Parts: sequence; structure tokens; C-alpha cells
Amino acid sequence: MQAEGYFGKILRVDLSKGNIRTEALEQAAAERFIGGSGLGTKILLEETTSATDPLGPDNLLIFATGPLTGTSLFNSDRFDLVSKSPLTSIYAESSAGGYWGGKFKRCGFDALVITGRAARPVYLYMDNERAEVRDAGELWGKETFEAIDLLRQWHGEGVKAASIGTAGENGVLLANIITDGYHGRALGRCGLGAVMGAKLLKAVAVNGSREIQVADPVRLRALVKKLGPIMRENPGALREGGTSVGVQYCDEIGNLPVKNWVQASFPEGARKLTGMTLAETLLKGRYHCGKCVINCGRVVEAADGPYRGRLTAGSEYETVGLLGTNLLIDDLPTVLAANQLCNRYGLDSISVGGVIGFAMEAWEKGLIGPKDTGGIQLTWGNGPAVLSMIERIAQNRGFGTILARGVKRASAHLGCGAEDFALEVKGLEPPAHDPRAKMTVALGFATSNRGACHLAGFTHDFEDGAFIADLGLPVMKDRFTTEGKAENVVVMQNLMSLFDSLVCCKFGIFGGLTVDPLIEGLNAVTGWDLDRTAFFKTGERIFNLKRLYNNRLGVTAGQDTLPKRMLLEPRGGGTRDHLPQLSVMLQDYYRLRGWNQTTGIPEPEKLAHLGLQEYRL
Amino acid sequence: MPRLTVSETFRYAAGGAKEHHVPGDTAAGVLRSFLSRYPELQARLLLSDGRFGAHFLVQVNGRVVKTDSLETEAVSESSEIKIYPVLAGG
Repeated sequence: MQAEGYFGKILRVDLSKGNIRTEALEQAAAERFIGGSGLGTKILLEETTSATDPLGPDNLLIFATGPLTGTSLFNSDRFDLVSKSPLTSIYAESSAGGYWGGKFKRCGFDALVITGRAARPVYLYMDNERAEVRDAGELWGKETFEAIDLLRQWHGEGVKAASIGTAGENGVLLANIITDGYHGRALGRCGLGAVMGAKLLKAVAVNGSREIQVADPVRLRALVKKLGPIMRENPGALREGGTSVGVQYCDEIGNLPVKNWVQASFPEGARKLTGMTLAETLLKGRYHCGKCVINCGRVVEAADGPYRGRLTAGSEYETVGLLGTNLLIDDLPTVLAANQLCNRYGLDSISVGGVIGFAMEAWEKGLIGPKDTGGIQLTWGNGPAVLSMIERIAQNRGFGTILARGVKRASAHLGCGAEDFALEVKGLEPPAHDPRAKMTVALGFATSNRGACHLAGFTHDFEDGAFIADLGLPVMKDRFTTEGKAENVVVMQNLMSLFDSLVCCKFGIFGGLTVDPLIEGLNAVTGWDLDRTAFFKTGERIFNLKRLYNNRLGVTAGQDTLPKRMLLEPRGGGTRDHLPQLSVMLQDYYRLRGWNQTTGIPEPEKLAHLGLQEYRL
Repeated sequence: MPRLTVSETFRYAAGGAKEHHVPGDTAAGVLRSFLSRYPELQARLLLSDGRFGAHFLVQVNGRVVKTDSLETEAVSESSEIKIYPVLAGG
């Protein structure tokens, strides 16, 4: 019998054949992998091979919700997208909030699996269980906001759409997918917009209104009532200053990227760009995702282009770090404009900031000049040059064609030692957290399944102040020591695998949505009776499944590393010249994970413990 | 005495209590007095030179007060001061 919280159905769309069909979600799969990225990884692992071309018709786009998606629990209107990344050629997942996840699930499905390649540009439209592949001739060539606006005009205001922009259409490997429009959210990382573009799939528009059944509504209501006051009060800093409220703090401790991760700090820039400066100057309002009371979204006026004056999303912390301080830009309107360009074209602002920072250092070192860049002066702090280069990247034109492939390929193209200042892990540009400032970030970047990622372990806010009381681990008191860090990373990665499968926002932790409430919520929704042991074992199973997918593609211990700069070059400032003792932490990590110390592949005993023998290499 | 509320994720280092009544005429005075009771939290919120770091956000009577204004922000017996950890992510 299917647990409540699920519709028990997966929608399958083959764009090559034009087939749309429904299949049952196996209850065993739901129990073992929950939903979201866990379920998505199971499908990806079982239905693709190591030879699958990320941009070919055989790659899958798996949009997956979880049992908590769309319920009344806080921070739960999310979904995950799983695929093989064209940027990194390994496992890819990206998670988004907004309203798309809940609207999709209420169509009566738990997941949507898209394969094939359409003969002409199309979009998928879903009105509850009715799904149609429709002509997207009028949408193709449009920016994300414009495409989503048109879909609303055609199908009604209640429709929520996830759309690529022109970057995805143009095969840019940094392309993302934007949901909901001007005040939207992004499936930002790993270049999944390019996968949609390669399938000639412009958008997925959904309009579901089905009721989501919950096993024990009284129990769930009691949990929501208990969490309410904490959720409204505790994440006060996020509400006041948005996700960029901590920019100055991150600069103080050496966490913020400055000048392609070289310069020790940038205090004046951090002061000008912090979320509190935004709140006092250009902020027009706040917005939130479905089932959220935190309101971390920022509303600002569009600075330029066809949307000038229109209210749209402001920049997040990661964007401020990568498109601001990382490029020595300290002008808030310029950062907001760069962010808006990325959102309009459908580009990952983290990777774009990383690759432009790389290009600016290449310019400084004389490896490239105006002849290469089409006259764009890629000097540090040159805002107009950054905006021009974002356009070139989105259009896959001129020097933009080099940067559009990501920093790893761009450095290989330039040669002459450019690899030494190309910052990436497993091909993915790092988000705005320096592993030299926090040891769990170092280990987390090295072992995250999608490459450099702060969200797979989400330890960065808990290594220097905040604390999850019901995690079952002691407070991390020293951000530079290696002691106890592997255990923290393992436990947090397992917990975050659950967040990405349930699917809930990790910021909910600051509002009290921690381990015990999550278990309580899951049991109330599904009718299951999971205890802490079973809950964390499920998270561990999901994390290991993602690892197995990468192992099959050839990822082993050798790829669990950091960029040379982050591993070997002291930075000063708040890092106090500290360097990560990665090899020491990795030994602990592999031991705790039950992975082979030499290969980094899960040992047979671990697979047996987790019930993953069928996926053994 | 002004009432100081500590965000849940900081509470472990403040004796586990949510609310504290702390003497002081300014927001900075209240905070220094409070932190002197809890060295672990003090080590996290004050810089090595004794200035307030950017690690936390302060509200006085519902209004955000920037770190560099804490010394001059007057508070009264009925003031409510809240401190939250600042976060970074997105």
C-alpha cells in the first residue's frame, strides 16, 4: 500500500517519441530513497550508463518531489532536479524553492522523468493529470522572465513554470533553470539548463490542484503549531538582511572570496555589499517560497534592459561573493545588475562569477588581452566589463565561448599554467566559502557528489557559532582543527541528503526544523514509524547511492581533493594563513563512511549494511 | 532591566536560556555585560581587540542596530534586545 504523502505515480515523457505515460512509484523505492534527489538518483543510476552523453537524448531530467513537498510543514514546497551534468560529466542535482514543486506535485505525481530530444522546441504543460508536449516556437529565444510571463498569459496566473533562458538554448554549460519568474528561484548548479536546451525543452509549466493526503493530520498540525513561533522568530537575520546578511562576517573570518580567492579580505567592499546595506538602500520588499515565513528573498528594481524599473529578485550571498568581491567589485547596483542578467539569460551566478574571476586573473597575468576578449578590458573591479562578458557567455559568442564551458575547460584551453588558478572541484566552480577558513567546508567540498558544494554538507554555519541541538554531536568549537570534523561532515551530509529527498529548505534548521521535527513530520505525513537510526541510515543510503553513481563514472579517491590554491596557498586575513589538512580528514572520513581508503569506493560490507548490494560496481 | 533574547542556535552557549535580564544603558553595554557571563559566546561574538564582530545581528525593540552603532544605541528598562547569528548561503 502506498504511504500517504505520495501520489504513487511518476510521469514519463519521451520527447523523441512524443510518448507520455504514467507508471507506479514502487513503495519500496519510496521507503529506501524517500523522494527528491534520493529517488532521482535511483532512477538515474538504473536507467543511464557511464556512456550516457549529458547533452544527448539518453540523458534524463528527473524532477522529483518528496513526501513533505506541498504539505503544511514549513519550508516544504521544494523539489530537486537530478541528471548527469554537462559541465562536470558526473552526478548533478539542483534544488529549488519557490512554488513550482508544490504545484507540480498537486498535479498528482511524485516525479517527472524526461528523456529523448524533441524535433523542434517544445514545452511541457501539465494541468493536474493531463500532460501535453506543446510547441514552444514562440518561447524559443526568449529570456526566462519573458517565457514564464507568456506561459502565465496562455495558461493562467496560477500556472508555475520552470524555464531556461537563451543560455540554455545556446548550449552554455553554466546554464541554469529559473522557476516562477521575477521573484523566482533557480535550479542553479551543474549546467542543467543546457540539458534542457539540448532536449529542445524550453519550459515545464504546471498547474496542479489535487489534495495531498496526510496520514495523521492532527499530529502534523500539532508539529506546525509548535514550530510556528520558533520559525517566525529565530531566522531574524535572514529576514532582515537576506542570505547576504553575513557578507561582512564572512570577510572577517576569511570565508568570502576576494580577487579569485587570493586577497585576504575586502572590508570596504563587504560593507558596501552586505545584505544590511541592501536593506538600507535599494531594497523594495521581501519575498518567500511556498510554506515559508522566513522571507529571505529580496525584491529590488531591475537596473537595466527591457525590465528596467520592474521589481525582481535581489542578489543572494553566493552571488554577492562571486560576482562582487571575487571580482573586486564593491558597487551594489552593479552586482544587482549582473545578478539580473544571469537570471534573465538563465545562468548560474556562482559559476559565472568563478569563471570571470579566473579570466580577470588570466588578464592580469598577461595570458589573455583585448584581442582575445573582443576589446573587453577584464581588469579587476571593472563592472561594465563583467556585464558585457555575461552577455557574451549567455550568447556563447566571442571569448564567451571559452568561458561558457566552465573554468576547468577554459584553463585547459588557455594552458600556460592557467590550471593553477582555475578553481574547481570535480569540474564545478566553488560557491563563496573558502575551505581555508573552515575545515568542514574543505572536506565537504572535496567529497560532495556534485563537486564544490556548500549545500551537500551545509556545515559552514555550524562550525563557528550556530549549533543544532538534536544532531547528536558536540559543538564545533575550533574552525581550524581537524578533530571531529570528518564525523560532522558525514552526519551532516547524511542529514542534507534527507533534506534534499523530503524535500525541505535547509534554512528551516534556523527556524527549528531540525532532526527530531523532521522525523516527526515525515512520520505524521507518511504514517511510517521511523526512529533516528532508521532516518539517518536512509540519509546515508542516499548519499552512498550518489557516490556509487560517480564511482561508476570513474570518480575515485583521487578526485576527492581541492583546487591547488585552496590546498597550498596561504591567504592570510581571517584564515590566519591556515591550510586544510585534507588528507588527514579524508582518512577519517573514508573510515567513518566505510569506503576503501585507497579507492574511495564503498566497501561491500557498507553496501550490505545499507541494502545497496545490487548497485555494487 | 533590559530583556535580551538569544536565538535558538546560539542558546547552547548561553546557559540554554532564551531570555536574560541584563543591566546596561546602551545596547553595547547590555551585550558586554551579558557576554561576560558566557565566555564561549563572547569568544565568538567579540573580535580579538574587543570590538563587536559581524557574526551576529542585533535588534532593539524590533529595529536592526548596526554593529558600529551599538555603543550609542540607548536602551531603557523596558527595552527588548534580540541577537541572531548571521548566516551565509543561498
